[in-house]
Amino acid sequence: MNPILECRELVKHFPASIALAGVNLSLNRGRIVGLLGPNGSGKSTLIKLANGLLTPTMGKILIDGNAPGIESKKIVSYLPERTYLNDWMRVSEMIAFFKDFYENFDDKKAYEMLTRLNINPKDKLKTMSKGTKEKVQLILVMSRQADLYLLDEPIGGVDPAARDYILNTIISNYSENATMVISTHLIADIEQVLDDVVFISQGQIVLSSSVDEIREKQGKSIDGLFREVFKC
Amino acid sequence: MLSKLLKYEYKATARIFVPLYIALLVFSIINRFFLSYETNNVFLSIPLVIGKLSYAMLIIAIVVLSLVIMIQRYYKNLLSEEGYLMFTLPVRSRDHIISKLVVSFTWNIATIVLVIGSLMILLVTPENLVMIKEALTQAWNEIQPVFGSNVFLIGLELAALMIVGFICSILMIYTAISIGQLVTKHKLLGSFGAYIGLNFITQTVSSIMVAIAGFASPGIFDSATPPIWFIHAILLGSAVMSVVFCVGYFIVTNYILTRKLNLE
Amino acid sequence: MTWELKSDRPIYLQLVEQLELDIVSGRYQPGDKFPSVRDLATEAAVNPNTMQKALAELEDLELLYTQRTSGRFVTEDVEKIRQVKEKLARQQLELFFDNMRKLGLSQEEIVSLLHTITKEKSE
Repeated sequence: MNPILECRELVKHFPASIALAGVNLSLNRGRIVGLLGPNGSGKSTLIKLANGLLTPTMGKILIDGNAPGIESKKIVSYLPERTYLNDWMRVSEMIAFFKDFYENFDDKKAYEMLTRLNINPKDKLKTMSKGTKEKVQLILVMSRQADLYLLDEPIGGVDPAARDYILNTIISNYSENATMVISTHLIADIEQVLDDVVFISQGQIVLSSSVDEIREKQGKSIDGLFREVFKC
Repeated sequence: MLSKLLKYEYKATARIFVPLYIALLVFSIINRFFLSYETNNVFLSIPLVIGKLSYAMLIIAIVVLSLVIMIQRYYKNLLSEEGYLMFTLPVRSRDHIISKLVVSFTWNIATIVLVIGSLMILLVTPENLVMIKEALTQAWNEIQPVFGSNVFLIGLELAALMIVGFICSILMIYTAISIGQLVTKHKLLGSFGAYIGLNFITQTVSSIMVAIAGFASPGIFDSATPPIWFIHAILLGSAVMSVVFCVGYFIVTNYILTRKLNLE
Repeated sequence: MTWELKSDRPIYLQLVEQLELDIVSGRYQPGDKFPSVRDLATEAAVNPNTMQKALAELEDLELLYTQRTSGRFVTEDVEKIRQVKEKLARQQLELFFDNMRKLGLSQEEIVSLLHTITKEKSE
């Protein structure tokens, strides 16, 4: 079986900076992985490359053995840090939109989650608060039966109750066939949900390990190790 | 996938254009009635003036909006935040370009048709109709003998040239916007600069082509009307050149969207 | 029920301890059907893989068994459960005695104190 995400000497240059300086990574299916690193470490760049929103300067990135393209976009579900939904649609229209373009979109599930969060599908996105829009985005992303979920800062800027709900959604949507990559710097909150962690700093992977290994061998929490590794 | 993109693009734009078109038609009907009322009473003439003013403003608004929406849809939907949604859809970049192009083209044509239609509603009376018919017949009688049986062909070529030219100008705008977004710090300036640059290139190439055509056929401008074959050549040549430009713009835009995309 | 999980020890070990407790205390009776991995993971707010590992450990300890088509069940071996209960109780008592000795109490003082407190508790 192909690893679901693979990076081989992945390099990404921007006019003003080097975002990724030779990343080698291999993620298998059925894992919940934390992509952890300080701001500007390259987390978002890596995720955008996996989505085909950026093209590599050098090296390769492969989703289930394929370069990012139409086939990979069908099986990757992406939650960006910002809200990316258009204003003029209602929630129900957005659901119809996703259903139209993605074969593996489960609209029943989406409606269930909306009900549970007391969001009215007939509401226009324009009228919603930022927090509610973020929840709608999460619902749309998690209602897809994807092979790779890329969540960029899913719990940043969200109240604790919503945070619990998001973690709950992540756990209950887990499938042995899929992998979730959660990029965040709020580590203590999600530690117990992670299988593996990848520490990234200045465009390079500094650590890649399972959570249990770190706790057993180093007797620390991931949060503790992170603070050590990235001490200012 | 392209048909789905078209569907959503139409939905997104129709909600702006259709109400405006309806308003335009309503106002042209209203104003037509108003035209038959002349009054010296100040109070009664207020609605008349408002009606005429609104109508004029509506036409201007619709025409301007056609251009503004065309630019805004491309920029906002593809190259700003919504781009995160659009470019993660399992859809080729070229389909994004084509869908925006087709829909922009449609609304621009619709605007032209509707503005002419509304003017006709406003102004056409049985007497006018006769006058228009006479003017058209007269024009036809003057043109026909000059071009002979080629009239229809030339008409077709002219229409094709205008359509291709139109598509070309839309694609040129898209390309300028795409090039602009490559310039990280000043995207707006970059787009404007690119537009001016592309315009310049187009004009230069066209002028060169016309000059070449002129030199290649000496004595062509000696007679009052150039020979038929020359006219065909000019029209077809221009059309072909436009097509080449269209293809060029499309390739450049597609390249930028696939390889040089950098959403913030 | 709250799952209190410390962050510096492997989670699956803590889950094993918590579930052992649930079984010996009677929250799950012998022969009861155990909830699914997904449900337990959601309840504990942990990674399903981690919960899976914990459940596998409990199977190794023979507190749970899997019936291929019907799922996981608590063992019906009451003796086994009693043994685990005793093991856990002993662990607590060892800890208790250690702490009492640290306070400087002798064996007799410990036993006498235990009697007094037990009487108080039954009143």
